[in-house]
Amino acid sequence: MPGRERPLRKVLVANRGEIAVRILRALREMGIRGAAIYSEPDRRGLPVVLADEAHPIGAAASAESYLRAAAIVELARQIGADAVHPGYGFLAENAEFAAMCATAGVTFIGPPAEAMAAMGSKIESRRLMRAAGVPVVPGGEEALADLDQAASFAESIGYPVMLKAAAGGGGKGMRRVEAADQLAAAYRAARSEARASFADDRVYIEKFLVRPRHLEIQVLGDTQGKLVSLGERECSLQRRHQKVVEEAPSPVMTPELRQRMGEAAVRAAAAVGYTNAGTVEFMLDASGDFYFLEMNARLQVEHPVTEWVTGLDIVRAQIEIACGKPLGPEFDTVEPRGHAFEVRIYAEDPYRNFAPSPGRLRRLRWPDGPGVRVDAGVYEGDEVTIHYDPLLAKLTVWGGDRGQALARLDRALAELRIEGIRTTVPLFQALLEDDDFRRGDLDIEMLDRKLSNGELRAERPAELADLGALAAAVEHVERTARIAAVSPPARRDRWRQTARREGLR
Amino acid sequence: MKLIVEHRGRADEVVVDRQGEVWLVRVGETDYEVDAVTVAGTARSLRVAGSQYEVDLAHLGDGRYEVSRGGWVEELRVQDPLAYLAGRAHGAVAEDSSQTVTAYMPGRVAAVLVEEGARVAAGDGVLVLEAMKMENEIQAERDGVVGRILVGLGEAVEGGDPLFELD
Repeated sequence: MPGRERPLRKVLVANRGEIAVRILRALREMGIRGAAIYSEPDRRGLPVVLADEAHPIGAAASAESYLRAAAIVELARQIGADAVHPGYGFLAENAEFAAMCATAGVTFIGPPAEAMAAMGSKIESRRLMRAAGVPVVPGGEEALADLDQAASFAESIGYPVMLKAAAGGGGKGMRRVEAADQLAAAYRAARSEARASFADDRVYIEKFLVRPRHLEIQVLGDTQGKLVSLGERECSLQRRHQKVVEEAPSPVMTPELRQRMGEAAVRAAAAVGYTNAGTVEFMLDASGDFYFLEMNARLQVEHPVTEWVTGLDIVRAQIEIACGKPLGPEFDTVEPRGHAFEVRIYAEDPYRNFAPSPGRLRRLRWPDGPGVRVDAGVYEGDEVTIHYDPLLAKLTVWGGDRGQALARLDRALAELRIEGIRTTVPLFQALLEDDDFRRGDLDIEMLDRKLSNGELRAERPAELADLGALAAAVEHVERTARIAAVSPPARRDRWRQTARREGLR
Repeated sequence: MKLIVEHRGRADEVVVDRQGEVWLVRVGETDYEVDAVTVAGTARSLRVAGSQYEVDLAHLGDGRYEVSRGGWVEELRVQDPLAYLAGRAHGAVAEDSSQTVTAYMPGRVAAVLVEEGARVAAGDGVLVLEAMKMENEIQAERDGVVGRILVGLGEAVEGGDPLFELD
């Protein structure tokens, strides 16, 4: 219903963890009743205890709870929710779910189902973007007929190029070609590898970007047709394609590039009739050219860094857009102020190759003070289960410039205590010691490259090497005294004998 | 009290004496005066050599401790000297014999990569455990022969459950 404002009284939050908490906070600030859903193990979760109402949605497995589209729409109808906010992940980019909400008369807080579907297909979205004048990575689309066609195509887009299997995935049938004289051999190899892996030897060519950066533009569109850019986020620090650290503004951004990239993002969104919040992802190469990667038709995990540098509340804006409210003048000329970082605190063990680290959060102390924000989905004493995404919390900081923001991040990580499970915090502490990161000299492969080189390992704090021994020894003496004080003498003797026997066995 | 503390890849003799409100601790050749208090739960504040340190102490049983200082986590073992010596003698005999590899996290067995009796090198994958939507390869920590595989495909395991034998 474009153009007509319609207030919301109750919103169902169809998610869990930190993003459900983030949405519930916005709802409370707006005086809208927030309803949470929970799976069996999430009954005691933070979203439930912060919500005005909460409803069971099924068993632990996502497929039996948070992904039950029909059950969630039916629940929204039953409890009289006017709208559903999907958060990110789960049903957030499911065009069918958005359409089901519309059919049931429940507002889906996100883009129209058609825009979501158009952006959901890689090939379709590339075609649309090219037609809309948004730069895409040159190449692709057509399978190559023969070597001659490959050679002339590679010449036209310029080396280095990448040969990719049309049916491909997982790096199979992929060959990087640096110069024309390597093309013939690489073309043969890629085809035979593609045939062996996918029983399909069609390959295509794409321009190979050397150490590109991942930059993305946050856009917002109202239902009156106004689309704006809120500027960029730099998300080059990724481990196995998973973002780990984000910042805004990008250390390499100029006002002129921001203008061009923002306009391209708005064109991309307009081409599919986009409304609400979305993110257009680009690759930026060393020569300053940028290329459309994909559009994320949802609220992003890393939206707080944009909120820090713009002073805007993106979730609130999403809800207002869903009410039919037009974007106000505060969205017209958005310039970043200061600098913000986000680190994603995952329940993953950096000491064990980032294996999941579930368990009870024996101790939790979030950092606080100037320029610090924590978006957490857990509390002290909470249980981190193996069923869901390992993101525990996002720590974001703001500073007047990049240097102050880095210092605040360092300070905040020093205050933070998470005990009982392992987290990615030591990785961030190691990154803060890394010269490339400190200089803002980033690319999308940097983190994987450094980790596989054995860099970015947690280092023993330099100040007192014997600290652990002192703490453990004193603790051990006190503990032994405590046990001796409460044990009756007979039992104590037997315990000692057993200990000796065990030790000597 | 005299103790052996295994830390930083070595074993140090540590002597701990209570002196009124403070502890006099000698680690190897170095003397420290330590004021240690419990802040709350497992959190401790240590004042030593003019600085204050906040650490978290978890007793894992059997004299094993995990000392955490924010990001840095260190595992240590504290024993009386006799138990330490006995343990070393025991360990020397046990070396080179069969080892049962256990799950260090709960999960579901997503794949079994080798057969019983397969020869594996250190770092070779033996099983894949799935948890938190991620697959994690359980690797052989040393060269050897895979003995019995104690779990089946699709089976749910708890942390500490035996997975396979490595001879």
